Amino acid sequence: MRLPDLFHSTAFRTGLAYAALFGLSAVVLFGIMYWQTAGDMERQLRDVTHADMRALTAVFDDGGLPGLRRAIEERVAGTHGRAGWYLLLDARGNRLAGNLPALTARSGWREVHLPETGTESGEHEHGEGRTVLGEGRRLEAGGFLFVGQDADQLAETRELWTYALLWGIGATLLLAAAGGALMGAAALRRVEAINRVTGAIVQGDLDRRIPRRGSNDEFDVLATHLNEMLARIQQLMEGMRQVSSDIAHDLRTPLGRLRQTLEKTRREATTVAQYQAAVDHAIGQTDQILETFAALLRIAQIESGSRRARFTDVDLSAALETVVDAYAPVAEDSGHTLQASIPPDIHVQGDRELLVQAVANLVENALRHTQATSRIEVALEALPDAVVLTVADNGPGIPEDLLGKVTQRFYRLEASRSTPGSGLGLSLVAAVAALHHVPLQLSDNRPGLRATLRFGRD
Amino acid sequence: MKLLVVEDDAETADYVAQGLRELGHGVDVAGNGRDGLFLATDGAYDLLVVDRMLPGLDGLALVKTLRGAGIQTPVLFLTTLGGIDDRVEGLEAGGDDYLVKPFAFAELAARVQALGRRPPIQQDATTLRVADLEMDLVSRRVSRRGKTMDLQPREFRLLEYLMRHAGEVVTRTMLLEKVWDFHFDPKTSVVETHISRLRTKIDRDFDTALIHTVRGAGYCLRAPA
Repeated sequence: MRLPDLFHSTAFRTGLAYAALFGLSAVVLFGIMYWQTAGDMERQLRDVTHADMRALTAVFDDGGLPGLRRAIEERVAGTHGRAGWYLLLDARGNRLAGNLPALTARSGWREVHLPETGTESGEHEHGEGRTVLGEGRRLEAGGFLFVGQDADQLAETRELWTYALLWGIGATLLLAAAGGALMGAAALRRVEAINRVTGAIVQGDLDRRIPRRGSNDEFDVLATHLNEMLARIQQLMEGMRQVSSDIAHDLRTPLGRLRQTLEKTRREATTVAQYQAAVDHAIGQTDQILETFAALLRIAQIESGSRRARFTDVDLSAALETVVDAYAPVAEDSGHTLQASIPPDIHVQGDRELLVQAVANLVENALRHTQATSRIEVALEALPDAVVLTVADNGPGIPEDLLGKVTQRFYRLEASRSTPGSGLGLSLVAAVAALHHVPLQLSDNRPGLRATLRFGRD
Repeated sequence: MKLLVVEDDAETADYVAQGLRELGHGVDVAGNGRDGLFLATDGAYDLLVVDRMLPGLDGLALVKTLRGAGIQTPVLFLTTLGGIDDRVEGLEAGGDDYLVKPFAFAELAARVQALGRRPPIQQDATTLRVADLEMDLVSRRVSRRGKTMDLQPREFRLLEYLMRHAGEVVTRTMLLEKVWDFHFDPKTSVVETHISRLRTKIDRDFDTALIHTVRGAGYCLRAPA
């Protein structure tokens, strides 16, 4: 997989978006925790400082500058336990007391960073500056007081949090990016697989199908749908291809014959009557070719399944009666017996026109391929779970091993080559049956052929 | 009759127009759907012969537009080979009949005659009569010269159709469609057999035949000249 592909992939972009979101969450999370720890620490320091400032302000109110100076000196000397940081300046800015170096006399809170050498306490390690958080206040008679607390710990905590935040965000972003890339790559691989297959199909390898992983995820579902679509398209194309090759192979013969007729006429006919007879013959041959052509197209159209949209409720009983009614005299004239056993009012969903033609084809098939005196039976039966339509005869039948072949286009048994017919009758029946999702079953009627269409009831 | 043929294929249009003129009809030809629609809206035609596939405006749209405009001129659709949905679509669009190309001219002529027949036979007539043959549509009795015939239901419908189109040529395909509602070409002689039975009952015992075979076209029920 090429890298640019990965960067362009939807999954990778989604990963990046997630990384940004995670980063932001990390910042918020760290913010809250910072506020809870370092912030709290700072507030405590300020409270202590403020209290100290109040106490010292009270001393100043009572004893003035000298009193305050004394109090600060005491505090610096450590008389009152853990001391803070102090600075007292007089009105001219001279340092009067305190353990801090001189500061500008500015009121308000500030953080003071002490240089290494400016400290008088030996508590801290050498080489490390100190941080003091404190409040400055101008005194009434002029002069300035600064009270502060050791803020080293606060500074350290802050530093700690800053590092933690930076590392945390860095790691989050890295993980999210890596995760995104990984997921993107996985998705991309599946899509690539689909692309490879479709590419191969475009190149003409129509049998290729998209592999499924078996996890039933959305890619599998997509693959299933695409495969179904491909199968359908292939089936339709196969149908069209079949028609083309059928036309190429099986219409060549009659066309050749037609050409011979015309050539022979050109050579031999001399009288108008002969020409007319020849033209009539040629028209007859042309009609036969057209008929075959129409039958092929019709079968192909039926197989395309578009007719299914026109399915309606069909009174199969009435449709069969019509067929039997039409063929009974024909059968009688040829010495066949056409028997019907059709209970009234049996309905199925389907295409009446095509069902009638299919049954007519089966009856005609029986009439043509059985000797006179044979019996042909048309039966309709309503079972609890199905409607069964049967056309059976007691003629010579079809050898068991050839039963599957007779529905192929132009397939004709050796024995029936001499009888008229296009070899498309049963193909059409099979196509109509398939259109109705009804299996056409051809079986041995012992003796004879039995064709069964079984309409399942939903 | 005055006919309009809307057909883009010049050769077919010529073949159809010339044939119909030879039968004594006045024929105009339009080479595309728009011209066809213009002429059909404007001129008073007895029948339109319309190809389904036309440049500009296809046959279905043409007929739908005509019907939408309230023009009820009968329409015979010419459809292409193998289009199994064409017939239904054509009839739904307002066509009156259809014919699959390529066709025998006799078939077209018979259908043109059947569609353009004027004035139409009274729909509410209860008795049909051709020469000495009489059909009572209410009691469903058929008699010739007072002698009652015993007809099967399908024979009755076949005869009824022939009598309603008495004097006209009726083709095999027309009978299959109108009498049996078969929209395919049977490989066995269904029509011939039924006609032959009908003849036995109608004509055999009489010296003049009413049912005539028209060679290369079909049948015709007509009174002896």
